[in-house]
Amino acid sequence: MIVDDSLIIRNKISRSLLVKFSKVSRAENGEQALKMVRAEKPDVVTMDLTMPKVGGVEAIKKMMEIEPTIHILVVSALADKATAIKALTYGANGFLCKPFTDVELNEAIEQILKIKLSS
Amino acid sequence: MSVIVLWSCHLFVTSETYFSASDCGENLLNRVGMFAFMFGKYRFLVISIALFLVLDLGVLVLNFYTSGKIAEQAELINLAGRQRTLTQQMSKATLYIKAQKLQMWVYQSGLDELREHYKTFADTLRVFNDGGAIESIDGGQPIEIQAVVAPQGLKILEQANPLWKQFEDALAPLMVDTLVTDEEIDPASAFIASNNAPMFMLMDELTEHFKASAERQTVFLRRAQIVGISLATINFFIILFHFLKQLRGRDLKIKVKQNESDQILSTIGDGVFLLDKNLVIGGQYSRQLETIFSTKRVSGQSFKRFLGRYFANKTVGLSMDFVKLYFRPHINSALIEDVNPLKRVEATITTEDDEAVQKYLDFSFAPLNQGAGNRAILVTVKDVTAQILLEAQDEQAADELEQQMSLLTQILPVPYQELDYFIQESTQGYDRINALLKDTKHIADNFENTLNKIARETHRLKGSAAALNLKWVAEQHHALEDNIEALREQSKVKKLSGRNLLPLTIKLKSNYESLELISQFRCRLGNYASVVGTTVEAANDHQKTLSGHGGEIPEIDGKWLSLYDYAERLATDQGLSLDVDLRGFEAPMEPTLTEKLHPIAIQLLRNAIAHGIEDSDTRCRLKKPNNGQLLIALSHDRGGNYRFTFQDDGRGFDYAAIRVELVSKGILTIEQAGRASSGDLIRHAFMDTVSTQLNTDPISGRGVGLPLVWQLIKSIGGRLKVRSVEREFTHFIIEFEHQSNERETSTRTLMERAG
Repeated sequence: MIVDDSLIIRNKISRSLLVKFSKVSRAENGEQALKMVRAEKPDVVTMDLTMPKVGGVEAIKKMMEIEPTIHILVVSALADKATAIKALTYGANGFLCKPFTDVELNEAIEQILKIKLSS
Repeated sequence: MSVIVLWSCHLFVTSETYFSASDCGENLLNRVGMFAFMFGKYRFLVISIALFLVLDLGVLVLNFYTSGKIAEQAELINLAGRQRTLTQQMSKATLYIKAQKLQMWVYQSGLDELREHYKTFADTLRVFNDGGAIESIDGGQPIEIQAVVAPQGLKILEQANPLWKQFEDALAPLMVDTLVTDEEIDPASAFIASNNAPMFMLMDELTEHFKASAERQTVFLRRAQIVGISLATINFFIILFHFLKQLRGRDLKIKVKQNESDQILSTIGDGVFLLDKNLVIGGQYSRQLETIFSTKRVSGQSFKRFLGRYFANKTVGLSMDFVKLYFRPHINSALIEDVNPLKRVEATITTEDDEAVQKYLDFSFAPLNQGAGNRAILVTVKDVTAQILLEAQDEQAADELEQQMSLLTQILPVPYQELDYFIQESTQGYDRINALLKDTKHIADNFENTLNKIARETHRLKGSAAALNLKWVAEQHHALEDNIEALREQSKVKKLSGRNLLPLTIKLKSNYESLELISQFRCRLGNYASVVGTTVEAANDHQKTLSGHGGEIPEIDGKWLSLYDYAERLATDQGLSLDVDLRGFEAPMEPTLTEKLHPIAIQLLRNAIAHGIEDSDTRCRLKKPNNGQLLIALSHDRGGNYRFTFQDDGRGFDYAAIRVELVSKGILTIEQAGRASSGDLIRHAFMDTVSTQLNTDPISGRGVGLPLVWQLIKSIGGRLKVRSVEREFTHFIIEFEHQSNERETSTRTLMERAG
């Protein structure tokens, strides 16, 4: 699942992930993402941090309560390291800095999926 | 013995303790592994200890066995000794019976005694021959006696048995009937009297034989103990020395490895250390770490406290949160390096000389698995100060080169005469600003006034630079104006002194340097022009052609001619269209006259474009010509009375906005502003720094343009008339006197300086 308020980023990640995953869903903000996580239970989530309504950190925190075994990759610009570290502390598994290439994204997703998470 | 056993136990415990350091788990597999470990590397030690125990046990068993034998021998000695006594007692009892009988006295007690001794002797002799149980000599529990098998003992018994048979025969009549006849007692007593001594001797020999046998066994036991204990002791020392040898060898290896580690750590060019799960720095670290942080307080320190010595609390807190991520199982450590807050971070390090030094450091972290779920982090610290400074220098050099190239491309189209004039005008302007900054007494007395003077001078120079399209210089002046504006705002809150003007002095120095660069370029261009034969006139011709006004424009002085381009540039930047009409500036103009009027024209032109001329849509709505109309004219009479006119057909003064600005700045009250006439408001616009623009840009918005114009007018002793109708026009008329003064062009001085 791709969570990002930028349509361009959502499209970019979507194009890249559809090679590996059969289904890729998208959310524009944290609030929408939380609803979709309950319904779809995705394997992996790419999460932006700065979004309207519910932001990335808040979304990750709640997402981990709903689905503790979900894999989350933070995909964000490196403006605020403190926020990124907070997101990782709350349960995100890795961080990918914008801008990124398709290769970098796929490698990061592979790395994330190697982690075995227990509920 | 017990001491030795205790030693052995101690050794074993020591060994166990030693091994237990490597005991990694409690499951059976690990136990098996542990045994394999013991019988592998430590086989000799384990076998030695086992041998030691076997020897100890052997001696113990032998001791037990021999002790039993000695105890048995002691019983035999006692029994044999008793046989001697019984021989005598039987003889004594027989004689007693005979004597009693002769006296006709009672002899029964003697007979009972004889019979008892007889039976005891016979039982004991039987046990010596055949073995078996017999009551112990002290009357206690029956004891089991082995038959005598030793040759010496058998030989004695072979002599004793027939003799005893004779005793039995002789005493037999006395054993069956209580009435003893003389025929019975006499031969018996006679036999005993004659055979008592041989039997006694035989029993005595038997006693001595048992004694000798017991002594031999005691000697054997002692020797066996000595041998066993000696062997055990030797084995113990073998174990001890072997163990010590192993320990020494291990210590040596550890020392060698320690030395190797120290050598490696001392040669590593980066600071390297380990962090444990409690985020405490490990005991071993590279020497470079001490060099980087100028401290030896590293080992065993809390990482948080360590960082706290060199970084701000916020950085330390963030770094600790980041480092803890490496211990969290859900984190992929390869994907968090981007958020490392200790990447190229600036540290303040106090050296041994108590000198604070700024360094740029680069921390990197790598998790290490230490087995059994333990994790540590290998931390590498690089001092990247030199690298960063070099990059900064490269960047600065690239910027400077870019600026120089930009400046060069900006200078190239400027006619040399105008450039020379600009250099001279700027030099004088900088000198005036410099003088103001140096005048500490005046600054202390009137800080704001000094700021205003510097602001006006800067604004004027900015206008001149912009007029020649020297954007780089104009931007420098704009940045200086930003500093002035910031100081002005600060001065409203607190009292400032000359020290606060230091940033302006630094900026001014930079401006001087830029001007020096322009002079150098100018000099080189002049040299180049003289070589290729390019002339200033040719450049001017070229510029006229580029301007598109070539055919229609009269022969206007070069400096005034550049106003066309300047006006066009400013208007284009603002999205406006202009028609500029210059009258009365036909070449050649007196340089002194140009020097007086040109800055005024520049400021009024900037003002008109920024505030006056409307965009095309507005002008169309107001039924004005599409292009804004500007007239700049100069006329004079023979008496040297000059009249400089600047007219635009723009929106005129915005009186309402001026009123608001004056009230907001506290110059007028609301009532005063309401009562103020248009003339009063215009006067304020020229006297005070009033801006009706919300934002500043390189053209306008600081409210110093018109006050600068007024200062310039005052400097030439001129009078100003202003006519302005909102939404229609603004006319500025400046009248002044000027006597023709033939002076040399200012270029010469400047050329000398640049050369």
